[in-house]
Amino acid sequence: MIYANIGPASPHSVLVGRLAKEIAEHFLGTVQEISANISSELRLELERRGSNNCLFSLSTPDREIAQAIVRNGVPSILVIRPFSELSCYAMQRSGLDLLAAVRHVTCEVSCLYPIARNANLAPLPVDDDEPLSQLTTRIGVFLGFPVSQVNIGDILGKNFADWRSMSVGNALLVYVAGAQETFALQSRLSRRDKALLGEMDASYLPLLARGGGGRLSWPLDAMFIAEPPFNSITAPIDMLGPARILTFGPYFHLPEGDWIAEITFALTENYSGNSLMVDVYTSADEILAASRGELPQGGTFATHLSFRVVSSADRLELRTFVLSGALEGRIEILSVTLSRTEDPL
Amino acid sequence: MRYVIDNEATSDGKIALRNIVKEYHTPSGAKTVLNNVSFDVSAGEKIAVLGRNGAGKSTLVKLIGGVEKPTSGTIHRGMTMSWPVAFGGGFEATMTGLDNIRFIARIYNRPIQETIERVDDFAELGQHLLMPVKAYSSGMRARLAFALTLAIDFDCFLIDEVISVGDQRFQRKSHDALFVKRRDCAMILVSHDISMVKNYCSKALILKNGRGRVFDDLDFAIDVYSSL
Repeated sequence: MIYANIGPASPHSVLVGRLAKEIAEHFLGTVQEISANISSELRLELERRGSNNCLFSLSTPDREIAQAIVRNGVPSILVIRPFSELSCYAMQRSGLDLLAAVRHVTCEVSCLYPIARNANLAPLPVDDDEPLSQLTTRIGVFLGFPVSQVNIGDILGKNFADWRSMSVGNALLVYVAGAQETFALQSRLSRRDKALLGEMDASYLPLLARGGGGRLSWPLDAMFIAEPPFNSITAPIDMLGPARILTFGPYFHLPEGDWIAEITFALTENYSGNSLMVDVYTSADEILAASRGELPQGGTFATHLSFRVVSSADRLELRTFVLSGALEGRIEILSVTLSRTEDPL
Repeated sequence: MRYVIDNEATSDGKIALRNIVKEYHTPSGAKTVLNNVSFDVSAGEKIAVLGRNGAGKSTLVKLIGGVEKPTSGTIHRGMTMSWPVAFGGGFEATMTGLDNIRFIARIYNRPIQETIERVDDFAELGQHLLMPVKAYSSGMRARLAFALTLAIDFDCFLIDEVISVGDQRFQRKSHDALFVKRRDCAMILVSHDISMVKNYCSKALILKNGRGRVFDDLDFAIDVYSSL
């Protein structure tokens, strides 16, 4: 029997995975935990396994794994945590800076999107104040195991010594490596970081909720002016200068499929005229879409770019270019909104 | 009309254009060629005027040279200003070269004989100076104009692209006379020649679609101009 613990990596998903394994082993015997996000690696692990029972831990599954999970109706648990926890956990584990960690989390969310939208799957809410036994019981229900007051002691007693009096929050601190450090990082986030992460929650987490996630936005704080000191594009950009790239970033990921990007600009004092080009560029060194046009003297306008994401693992960048030397003018990106137009599954 | 030409009202060693607008009336309506252009040239300063074709450079030269008047704005000329160097369009074609020299020397209040000698010495036109200018080749006409420009001793030279006059020896002589012997004079150099601009100018005015902006950083200005 195969089960899956899916979700962007977090202390909570690690704890849930451990509890799921304890439950499955209680009822099925030995259960092998396999963490592999590439189908060839997963196949190799399955060939090597010493048991018929497996628990997959998936955070960035490739398309083949995602399709297999959905097609075969693999019983799965999905744990969704806020970007602050997910990003801090990535920082703690990999030494990334905050923005790199946020980018990594967008990769996890985008890769998990096809599984998360599976009708057979619902997120498992986890409350830190909840007793550990109660969470264990709910995980059992999710996976279809009859966890009860009778057998819960046998399930938890072996590896969770104080399980009777322990809350989920305490269990995280005691039993999950890196949880303390993650929560400490979370508590030290600046107001600006928290605002960015809040925007990411509102934008990306609905992708993991059934029926949501058709439209998201990229925070301007994660995109940059292409000149030292590479500030965020949260203020108007002086166009004065030669033809050049004006902005780049955010190197976020999107679920596979067709998307439309809507970029809204505000422009002032462009009396001598100019042309602007906007493109969507991937880490696979490919321009997915581009548009160019003459700029007005001033005002607010929007441009739309249709493009197809062929791999959620590709980082995406929205670049803007001024196409000829500028004597004047100030341009500001007001918003970057992305709407999904087609669901591949 | 709301223009003021403050022509040598005070010799303060400065040329100042303020909010210059130049419109031409065309069958399809008014066309604004220069739109609110302002800049200064101080004594000895050399400014390049850069821009693509149609940006308004020639119109600006005409306004600075006093050939045309702006639709609005002010032009202050606090130093003597040449006509475009080597521009021979101002000659009276039926008069001889010599008579044209006399005529212009009188206009600019310069000693006539000395001016004739200086022009004759530089232009190397010899007996051709006794012939009507209409009989001159374009090269001879340009040499006469160039020599006359140098003989008048202006404070500021207006150079509109063409200074390659005559054969190679004459070109070298012209270049030397303008950029070496008169290195302390102010210059307004309209040119597409980046190396010339880099060699002789300290700042640049870039024109684009009638708008103008002065750059004190010449390298930055050339970067902007190169991608116009």
